[in-house]
Amino acid sequence: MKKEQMKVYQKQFSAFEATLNGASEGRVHQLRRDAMQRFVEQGFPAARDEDWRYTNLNPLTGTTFVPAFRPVADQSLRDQAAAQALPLTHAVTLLFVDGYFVPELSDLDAIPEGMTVRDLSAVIDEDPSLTDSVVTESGTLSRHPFTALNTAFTQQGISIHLRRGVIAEIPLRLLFHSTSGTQPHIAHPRIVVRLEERAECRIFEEYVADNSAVYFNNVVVDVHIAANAVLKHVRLQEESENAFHVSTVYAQIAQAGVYENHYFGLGASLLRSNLHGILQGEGAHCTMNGLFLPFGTQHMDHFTVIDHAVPRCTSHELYKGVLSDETRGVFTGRIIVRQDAQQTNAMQSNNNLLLSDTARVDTRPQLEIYADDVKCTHGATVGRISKEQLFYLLSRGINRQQAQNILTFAFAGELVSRIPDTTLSDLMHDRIHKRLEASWKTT
Amino acid sequence: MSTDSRELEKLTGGDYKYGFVTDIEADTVPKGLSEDVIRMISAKKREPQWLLDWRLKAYSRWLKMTEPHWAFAHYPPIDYQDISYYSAPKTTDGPKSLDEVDPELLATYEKLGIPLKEQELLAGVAVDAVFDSVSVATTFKGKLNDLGIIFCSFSEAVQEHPELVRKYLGSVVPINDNFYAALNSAVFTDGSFVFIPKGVRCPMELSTYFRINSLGTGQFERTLIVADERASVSYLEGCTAPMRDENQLHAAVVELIALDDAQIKYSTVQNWYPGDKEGKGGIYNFVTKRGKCAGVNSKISWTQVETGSAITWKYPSCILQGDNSVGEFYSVAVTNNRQQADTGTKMIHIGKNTRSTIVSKGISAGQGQNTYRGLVKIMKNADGARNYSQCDSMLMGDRCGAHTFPYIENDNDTGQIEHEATTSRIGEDQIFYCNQRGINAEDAVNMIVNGFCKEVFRELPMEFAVEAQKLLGISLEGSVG
Repeated sequence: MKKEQMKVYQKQFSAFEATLNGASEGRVHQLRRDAMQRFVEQGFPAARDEDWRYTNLNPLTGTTFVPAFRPVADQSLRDQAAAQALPLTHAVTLLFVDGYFVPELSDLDAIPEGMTVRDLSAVIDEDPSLTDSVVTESGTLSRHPFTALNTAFTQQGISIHLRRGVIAEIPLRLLFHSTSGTQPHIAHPRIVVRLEERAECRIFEEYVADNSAVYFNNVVVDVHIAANAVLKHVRLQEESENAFHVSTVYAQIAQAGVYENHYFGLGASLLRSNLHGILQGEGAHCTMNGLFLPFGTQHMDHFTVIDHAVPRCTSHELYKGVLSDETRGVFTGRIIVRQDAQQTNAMQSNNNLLLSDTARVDTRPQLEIYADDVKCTHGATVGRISKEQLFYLLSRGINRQQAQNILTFAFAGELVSRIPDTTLSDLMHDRIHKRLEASWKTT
Repeated sequence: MSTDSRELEKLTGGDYKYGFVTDIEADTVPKGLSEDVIRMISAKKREPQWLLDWRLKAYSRWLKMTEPHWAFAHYPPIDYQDISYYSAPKTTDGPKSLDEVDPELLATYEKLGIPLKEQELLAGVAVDAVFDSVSVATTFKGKLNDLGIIFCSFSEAVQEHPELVRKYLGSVVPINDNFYAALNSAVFTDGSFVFIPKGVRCPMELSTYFRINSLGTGQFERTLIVADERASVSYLEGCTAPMRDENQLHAAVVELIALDDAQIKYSTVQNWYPGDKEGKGGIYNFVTKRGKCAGVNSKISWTQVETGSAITWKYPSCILQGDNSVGEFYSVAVTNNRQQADTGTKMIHIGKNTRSTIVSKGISAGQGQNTYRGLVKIMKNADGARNYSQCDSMLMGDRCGAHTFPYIENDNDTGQIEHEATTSRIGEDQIFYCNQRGINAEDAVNMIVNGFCKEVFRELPMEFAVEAQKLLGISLEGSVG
């Protein structure tokens, strides 16, 4: 990491401190300072870091970003975001512009009974007891420079809290819109989701942007699922083609809790998605599904960890990549089964389809197992469209373009159909379809 | 269940059967490593100047390298100055026939169950036995000579066929390849050399039994096998070592070269002293094995059964350079007590229509840690490359670990890669099923484990398959349950 770059971040941090007025003496701020310290010590990950070996961060570290400004709430912002986003009508939408939560433009009135949604900075100021789950990084897995950087600048973002036994019927949509500015900007949104016992909800996180805007979204999502609670989390990442996106999700799942993560990656020039599921209570379950469809010269790197810390938990992971043009896809999936985490059942699978001879994919499915009474499997495949299948369709009078579309969609569609919301699933279906057709045209 | 676990303990806790030290006068250089030691080794072996230069170059590279620690293994630091780099049984003249070989040496082999004579007569196997670092007996030489096959100790090859050695030595594993390969290149004492001339199919299995004997001596063999156009050979390597307390370093290098239409099959049974139940002692087995399919339609196949050593760290690899070449890797790795194994393979697809198969079976018992680490890489121009990998792990006991770290890198859209891995333990129901039918737990587990490893054992030559099953029986059978 170049020294000047570090200085830029340090300077931004000092400026940020100055805006806090008296609050810079509080405990929260001490945590921020520690995080900044950690970030400065670690620097950005280098290619020799095993977890980052397939991703070159130079385009990101070589760009100078300025902190995003808090936007002025104006209805036009919401319209702009809506124009880019999926036409979802049945969800409660919370709008974020350049990483900042804009309550004035969000459907706060429609938030279901039992759910509390608040601006994170307000929560931090009012309730110091919350800081542990909000600002301290969950577990030891997070010794991660990007998380440290996010923690250092924690202020943007929201806290979502669901009371015991509440089942929210209406999904909650977090719509992130990034605008184009004169200078590349950086945002550090942080989302904290806490579900009390037996609570259930669906959250749909969507990232959209103005065309060709240059910015860096460094997102951290903290998820805490109490016993028997269920969170279904769908994420659609459709950043601008010049954007940088690093997102890190830490989910801690208590006894018999369920966490589902469905990820769809379409945008960003450089993407890194970190996803950590920690099964902390017996009988907990974690699902990770992901589909990535890079385009042009996009680089998409997915790093997932499922940590079976206690006995009798299950996990299921399926990631698929469709790679066209000169794109690169990376998948790393690590399953850890701790000592004594007996009767674990973990399944992991990664399939990749290459549509062009200049696309490249690197995959590392990993099992790390310290208990014996377990069932763990992983599988990975890389290949292209089967000639036989193509021929079969051609011989039935379907033209090549169409046939390729059918086969590619058959491959990708599995993940769309797993979305736990039929309306959203239908919308996503169309979206993915369009995207795949476009990738075939360029290939 | 409790009977099973007692049975398990009894079986897995079995003492190392091959633990004995043969008392033979050995010619050992003082401990430590320096340029002088290398010059001394080279002088003792009456090596040509180019080889000495090559060794010194490797040594200077080695000095600049740092010991790698990325493997999934934990061990105390190795003091490279506390190792004696040369040890040869004292013989005035090289033995001309088996009768001249020190009877005690022969008895050692006898104890290992590989009597040379018997093998010569019955098995039809030519054996180049490495006792510590110098080959003491080579059989069937004449028969092989008639076909133009060169099968001799490495030092002999340096004297007799310097042009071949010079041409191929270090061509697959360069001297600066890795820390241990560099060390080996600097100090290797002996090993085997095989050359199969054009169009010759080697009529018998070539075999070397390595044995580490003198206390405090690391062994650094060098094996070089070259199969010329249309040649084919099957080579066996087997290892047992006597019991000792000191950790011993073993850093061998094996290089295989297959030219057009040639085939090499390399099989290993490794059963070195694994250390006692607390993990004290045992061999450190840090080996670099690599084969190059240099010619079109060539094939290299690795088969290994790893049951011994405190730490195993090896990745027999294939560089698939020639078009249509084939690489194979079949492995059974067993870790028991406190053994650690980090093993796997690399398949580098460079040529068009290259194919590779990986079948790896890991068995962990006690507190053993077993890691599969492999790389499948399809390069830009490797059109139509194909890989299939399967890595299965079996766990016995709740304190062992099984880890799988495959790396898959595909840079060509016509490449097709499949990787599959499973981890599980033998079901109690499977054992129960056998018990029900009057098969005791020991036999049941033996059957199940052997079934688990069948795909690999099938690849072994007949003689080895028997030994491998026996070995598995000693080190593991019954451990599941």
